[in-house]
Amino acid sequence: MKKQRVVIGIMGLDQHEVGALGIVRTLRDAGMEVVYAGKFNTPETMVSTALQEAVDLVGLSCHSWEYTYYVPELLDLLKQYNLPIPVVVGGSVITPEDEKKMEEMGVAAAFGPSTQVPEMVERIQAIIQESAHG
Amino acid sequence: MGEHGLVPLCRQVLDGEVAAAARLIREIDDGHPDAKAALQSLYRHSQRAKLIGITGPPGVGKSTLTSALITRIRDGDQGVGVLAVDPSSPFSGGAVLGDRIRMKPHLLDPAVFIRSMASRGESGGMTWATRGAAVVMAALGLPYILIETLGVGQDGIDISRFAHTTLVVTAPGLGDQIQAIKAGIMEVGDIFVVNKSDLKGAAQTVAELETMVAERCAGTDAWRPGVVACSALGGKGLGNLWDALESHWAFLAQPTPASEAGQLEKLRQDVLEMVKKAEIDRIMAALAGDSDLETGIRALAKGETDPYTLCDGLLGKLHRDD
Repeated sequence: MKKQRVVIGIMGLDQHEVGALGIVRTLRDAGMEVVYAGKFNTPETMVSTALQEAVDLVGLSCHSWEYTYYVPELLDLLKQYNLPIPVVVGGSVITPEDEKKMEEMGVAAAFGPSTQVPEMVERIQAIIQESAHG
Repeated sequence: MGEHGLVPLCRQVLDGEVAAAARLIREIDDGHPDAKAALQSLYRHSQRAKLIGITGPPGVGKSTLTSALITRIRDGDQGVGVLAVDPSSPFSGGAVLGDRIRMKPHLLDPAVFIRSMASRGESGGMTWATRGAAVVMAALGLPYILIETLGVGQDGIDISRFAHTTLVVTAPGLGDQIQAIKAGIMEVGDIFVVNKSDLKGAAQTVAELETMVAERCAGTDAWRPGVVACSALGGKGLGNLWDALESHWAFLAQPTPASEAGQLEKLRQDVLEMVKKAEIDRIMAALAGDSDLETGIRALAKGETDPYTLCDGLLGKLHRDD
């Protein structure tokens, strides 16, 4: 049976893990298989994980500005490896301006701190389905 | 290679493409209709790899030990595949696959291929798809495959029939869990590993396991499992563990009548287990949404029938349909 499979990770030196673990549990309870990549990732480790784990989506939990530095590199690397895997970001530090910037850059969705959890789950499921049929 | 939808991926796997192997494993996991055909064609290319199973109760350090073994294999400049199985929720079907975070040092090593898998409701500590993934990794040309099972106690011996060598891992101070090992997976360890050997009680745990091994092997010329103390996190005792693995492979390469009989028995059990699981899948699919099952369950809830009669009725119906 087909299952939705995602990887959730935290980039750079960002130490905040509670949000990441929260979304991991939420997606698990929505029936997904969630590979947890933990803290201290670089674009390279996230891409290597996405490739080896054959996931449908990469999710970054962001509670430090560093994500703005890493995301463009991550998107580039995914292209280089020919991995058409959608990327979403979510977290407390994502401002409405950054949300817009991220989406322009090619991030499939950016979830700021006011996003409701059920809405986020629905968006993620929809993004995976769209990318599977695209 | 016969004609089927996964032939292109299989060819890329045989050419050593990790990304293709990762995608093929996903198709196998998701039950692609040609998954079996793909595995049939790759199987004969998978026979050179050494399969090492790593099993034991939750929390004894299986993932950390796996990471330490990766380091040892990479020190010898060999490639390694890793399969790490975690449980699926029986309620949502979801899973958290968190073993990779213990293997961080190896994430960017191109000769290390780590894949997490969910148990997807299968019992036994590993799954049909895990077995398939091992075949894919071996066909990719990886000489060693480490298979880390779910945390298991009394059940979960499937791995021992599939792997060449099974490591049963424990840790000091787990009195009750040692009991569980005694009762269940004690019989399947080719090597017993007492991890976290820096903790109090390690020597006693080693001694207990050695006594059990001596009892198990008394008067036979079967393989006598080694008991190795190590600290995967501290990097201690891993040389001894590797020596124990090599002794086991040397033993397997020099067969005696007893060990040959043991090998045949292992293969027999392995194949029978596959038959059993395939049959269970078939029966469950046939009964999904069956109207007699649904009315029977309602009658059972009202006390109008008993589960034995209901079961007999369903089995009779299945046989008529065959």
